[in-house]
Amino acid sequence: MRNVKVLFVGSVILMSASFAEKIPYGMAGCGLGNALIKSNSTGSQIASGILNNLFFPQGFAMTTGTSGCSEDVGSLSSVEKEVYISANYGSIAKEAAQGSGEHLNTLASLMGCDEKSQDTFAKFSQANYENLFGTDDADGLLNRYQTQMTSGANGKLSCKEIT
Amino acid sequence: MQGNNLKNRSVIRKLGLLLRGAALVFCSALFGVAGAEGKSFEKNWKRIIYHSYHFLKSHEALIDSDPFYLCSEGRLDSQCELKATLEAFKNPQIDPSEFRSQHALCRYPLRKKFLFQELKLQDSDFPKVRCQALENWKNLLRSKAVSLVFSSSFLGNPASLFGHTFLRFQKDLLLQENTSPILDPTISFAATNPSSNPLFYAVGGLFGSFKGAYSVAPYYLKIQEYNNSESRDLWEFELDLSDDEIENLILGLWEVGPHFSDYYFLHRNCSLMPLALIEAAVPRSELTSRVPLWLIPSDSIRVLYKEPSLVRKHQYRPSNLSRFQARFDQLNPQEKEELKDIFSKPVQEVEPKMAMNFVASSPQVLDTALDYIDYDEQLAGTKLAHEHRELQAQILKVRSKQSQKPQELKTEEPVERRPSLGHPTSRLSGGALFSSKRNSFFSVLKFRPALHSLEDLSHGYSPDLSIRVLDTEITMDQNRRVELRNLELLEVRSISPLRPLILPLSTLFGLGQEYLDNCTPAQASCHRSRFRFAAGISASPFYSRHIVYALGGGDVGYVNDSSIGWNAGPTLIIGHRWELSPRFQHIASFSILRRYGSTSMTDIKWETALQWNVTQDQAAKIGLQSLNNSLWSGIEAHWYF
Repeated sequence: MRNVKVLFVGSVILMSASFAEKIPYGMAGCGLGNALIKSNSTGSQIASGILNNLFFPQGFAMTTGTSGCSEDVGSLSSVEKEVYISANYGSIAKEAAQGSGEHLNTLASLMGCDEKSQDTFAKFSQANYENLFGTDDADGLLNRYQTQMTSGANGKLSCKEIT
Repeated sequence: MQGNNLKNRSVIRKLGLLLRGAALVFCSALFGVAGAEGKSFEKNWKRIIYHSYHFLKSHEALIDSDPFYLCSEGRLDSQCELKATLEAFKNPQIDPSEFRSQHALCRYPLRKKFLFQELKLQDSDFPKVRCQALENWKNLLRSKAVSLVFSSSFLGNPASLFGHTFLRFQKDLLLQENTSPILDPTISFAATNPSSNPLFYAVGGLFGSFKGAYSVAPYYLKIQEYNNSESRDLWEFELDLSDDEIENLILGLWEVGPHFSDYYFLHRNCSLMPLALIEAAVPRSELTSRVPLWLIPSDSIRVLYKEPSLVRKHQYRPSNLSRFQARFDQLNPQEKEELKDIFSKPVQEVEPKMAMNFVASSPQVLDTALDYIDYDEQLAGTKLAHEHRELQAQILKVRSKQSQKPQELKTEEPVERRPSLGHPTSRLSGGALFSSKRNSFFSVLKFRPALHSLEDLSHGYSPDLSIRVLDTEITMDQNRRVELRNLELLEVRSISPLRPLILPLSTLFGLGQEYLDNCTPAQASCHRSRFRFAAGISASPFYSRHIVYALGGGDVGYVNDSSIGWNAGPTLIIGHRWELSPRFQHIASFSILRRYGSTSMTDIKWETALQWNVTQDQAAKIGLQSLNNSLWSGIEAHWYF
């Protein structure tokens, strides 16, 4: 049940994000993973807010007025990455340990790695698995990737949004 | 000079008005014209405003949200809606009462495209409006292809008992950066806030008390929800659409997306609305007219296949259970034992072994173990394991030290379960019965609106799941006396067999009325209304085509006889399904019920039957049945439609 709620919330947030307008989901853009995974009350608030609106982006596009955190988030693509990681953290962790997989490749793609770099990204994720996935903290994964990738010798990687 | 300009503008404006007036006259005339062009125009216009053909009524409006129709009679009168649309298009300003303050030209891009093309209208004749939200929507869904995705049934939720369908828009990976197939947007139509109570859900769904709405989600959420959390296989049926038709579909979705339709479980459901949307976008297709009184998700796939050149190809995406099974089958015997050891011992015993000697566990074993944990905990990929938390953490850590990539999975599509190959869901049967007790023949007529019984052709369905809805049997004796013999309102029988590490619970839920011989103290026959629930296990010895099952449970019933009345007791059911060949199924079952009430009695039933599934929609069956030592034999012909 909780999984379904997380999936639902994530989907609506993403479709809102796709519309490049103000995002009527309150705090969801800030510490999204926390909102989705750790805090039931915040998660419920988001879900009920969305239920009271509409399922459909045309509604979101026109129903503005709530000051979301979209202005505080660096870009919509970062929201998209956060939602993606929150909704797929378990799958990404598994594939990172295995050194390949569709979810891991998609994360690489969202981080701006070109197709040729995906294999290198997967190997990097596997080699740094314990540093990247040592905790259940999905929210911090982007930061951990950034830290690991910028601190090591990763000259072969060309991922625009990390390096 | 300025005066000339003003004069020119005035002339242009008048010309524009004249053109618009001519268009209106033309449209009005078109509906009155009996020619092929007029008929084609009217037919396509009705599709675009979702005036759909209905089996019982001549037509029905599929959208129930009032703002969708611009004419107050637009739900019934397509001509009135046409006039109102053109009037709204030419309105120079946004009417404050307009739905969400959008100009009609932005709200109805598919209507606009259709009418401009058909009536040769020019942009210059209409107000210039900026439709930024629409442009964003088009960018979001701009795709190289569209698929109708079928998700197999899921017993854990009454809403998912018959499967589900949704649309997937496949982005062009070559043209778009930073994307992947699982980021594709999907569109679903589903009942909002449906009751989790199966009874309320069924009643509410039957009578349209839920609102159906559209939602958008990235494909990875659907994969996590259906494939992983609920272990449901997905089939993607890619539609053979042109770029223009894909654009129509995107525009059509924009128009209907914010509006609701009353949700009817059997007809106006998650499968009908995508068909109506596709039909509105693809004028060459005939889909909703092929839908009978009710539509079940697998039916909608077969409807697609009835239309020539509408399905380009299909693709199978295995559930986490199917993935685990495939990975397990690829292990050698030693690895299988090693895997079983991991899960047969407490975590504390397994952990040190793995930590110290991780090289000993092959990547294949570890990958299979990870897939098993995903399945066992129904992980939606969102979170890490809870019950196997430590074990999973250890396995992941060990696995990350092994550079070998996961073995390529041999998850070939189970062709026999592809929904397009299944029999239609409604079944009409006719035949004859002979009662040895009465030494008399009976004519028999049966009707089952949905869905699938164990003896039916298993193609397109799960071989271990039977769902019977409103299964009705009427008999007529030689004196032409007609009797309702059996009526199963709903029976769900799941006999998923045990597999290594997979221990599914087999269950039976049944609500209905059944005929019994020798069921009263005076050995008379009776009709017993009853509710029964039983659970147990099933096995498929040596992975053969046999499934045997044993279920135990309780049964509460009522017999309209003063000596019996209400009664209840324990029941035991043992059964066997044998697939002799894909087209020949044999079923056998034995059940015993001890019922306690004002008179306590024991019912013993057994039956055996052989069914020959001649084609996808025709079958013949012979059977023998004993009802409290009263023998019945019968022969039936089935027609699926």
